[in-house]
Amino acid sequence: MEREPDGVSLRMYVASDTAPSGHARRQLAALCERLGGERWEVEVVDVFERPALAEADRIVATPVLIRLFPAPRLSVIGDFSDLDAVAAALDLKEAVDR
Amino acid sequence: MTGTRGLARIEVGILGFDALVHGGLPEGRSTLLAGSTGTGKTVFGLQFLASGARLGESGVLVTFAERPDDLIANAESFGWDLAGLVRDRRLAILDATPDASATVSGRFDLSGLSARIGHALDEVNGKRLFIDPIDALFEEFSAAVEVRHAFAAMLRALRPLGATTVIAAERPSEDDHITRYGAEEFVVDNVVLLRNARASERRRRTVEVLKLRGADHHKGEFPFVIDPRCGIEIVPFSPIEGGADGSAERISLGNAELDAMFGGGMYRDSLMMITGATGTGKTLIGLQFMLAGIAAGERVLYLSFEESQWQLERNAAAWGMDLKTPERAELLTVISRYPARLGLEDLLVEIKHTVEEFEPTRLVLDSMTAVEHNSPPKGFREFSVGLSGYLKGRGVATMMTTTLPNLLGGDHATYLYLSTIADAILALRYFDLDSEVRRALLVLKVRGSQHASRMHEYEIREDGMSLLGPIQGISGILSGQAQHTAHSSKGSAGAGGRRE
Repeated sequence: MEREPDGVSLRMYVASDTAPSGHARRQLAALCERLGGERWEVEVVDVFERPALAEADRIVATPVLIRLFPAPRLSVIGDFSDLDAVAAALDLKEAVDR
Repeated sequence: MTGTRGLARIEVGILGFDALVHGGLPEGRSTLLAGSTGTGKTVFGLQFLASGARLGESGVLVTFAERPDDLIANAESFGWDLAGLVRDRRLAILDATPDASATVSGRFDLSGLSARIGHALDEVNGKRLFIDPIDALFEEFSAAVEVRHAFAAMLRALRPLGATTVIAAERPSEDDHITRYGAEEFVVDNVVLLRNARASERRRRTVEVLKLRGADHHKGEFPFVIDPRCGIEIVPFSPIEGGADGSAERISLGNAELDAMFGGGMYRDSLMMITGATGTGKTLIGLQFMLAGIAAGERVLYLSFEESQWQLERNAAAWGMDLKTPERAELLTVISRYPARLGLEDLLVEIKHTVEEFEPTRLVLDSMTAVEHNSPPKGFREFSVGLSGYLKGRGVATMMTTTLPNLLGGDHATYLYLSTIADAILALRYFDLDSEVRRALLVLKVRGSQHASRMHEYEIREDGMSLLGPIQGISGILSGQAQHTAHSSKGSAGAGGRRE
């Protein structure tokens, strides 16, 4: 799990066929664009395709966006209607600006 | 197993509960298990899973509140090895406890959990699912309407997997809404309520099947206990039907004169009640009955609720009776309890367990008055009916005593109530006449048998009880107002043939 010290690693769990997950995917793209996509590593996981991974990450609600790196691990649950709130919750500004 | 209306049933594996729902919970359906804190919801669910494993049905446990390790430890105290089941891939435990680092922004659903449960059921080939308890979910996500909606959608999505599901949910208080967050609105199949109420300073746990969609079930509240060794057990308070047929076998009471008064001893599968004031010899009759059983090679269970084991042994020794030898020979088990300290449900289950382990053919309970003390009337009635029905069903010859509060005459509530369930009643009375206190006994009732109908005088001597013969010329003994009847002089009053 070697990573660039200034990178940001995110994982988003979605459920393929649900409206909130569809909305969240689009919002995630917008979020990456807004914050500048260069140093982002984003993995989108469908819980129904990879339930074992969802189990390992103890996912309950979807969609959920997890900041895997840098520590500490933070997560936001929801369809991310308010992008600023998501960025704040994951402390992304600080992570990006570092 | 097929129940009414053809619904296949899943045996829950909780002693007595499956009978309440005529064989088990309908297969593949959801049951809401509602109760306030400390009512035993988690134990119920863990037992549901552990029993399933014993019956060859794997399960999945979803925990929203307690950590998996805590649940494993909790189950272990009841002898359920969840960790071993997990190792053997017969159980999956899904940790769904709240993630403190998460914030919520916008709409969501529970697809993540749904996918995990589906995956786990698939991995272990699970037939049973226990979700414990869903309230933490509502507390984590304050949008209750959305959580309800999401949870209902999850249950719908899981339904095709066919797992029989039990979902625990908190009740804010007894006799309020079924659950705090309205889970009953979406868990629509079955509703089971657990209660833990206080009555007369005693805890009383009950289970009630409120709803069992499309299937029959017993209605009303049924007491249960949580046995530290084996979990939840519904107390068999209703008489057990279909026990042994009425036995014609007679057994000795350990006193030939008494046997004769009952027409040749008591029936093997009957319950005899001995009623009298303190000092009339009830315990003595019980001990004689006990010794007669031991002499015949029978096993006897003696429940001493007024005297400690030491006091009982001392009193028996005074009559030349030895309790230690039959105890060592495993023909006698003495249990001494002060039942006021125990709930009646616990007491009944303890007696039942002892009867099943020791398999006595005779039982002495001295006294029911001590059981009644501080008990709510309803609880005492249920205890009496449940115990007598249980013992009769097993064909255990039973002798119970009740203590009358007054030295002379009089009835009391315990006696009046118990007289209806007793097959035979022996009344012991003091009577005072001419400044002398004497003792008399009367066989009041023997179901299905001829018996002596006259009062007999008796004495308690160093070697036990001795009958002195029928009383003539005295009336009013039972009511405590003994007097010489007309046409009888003092000289002929009292016992005919009184032996001095």
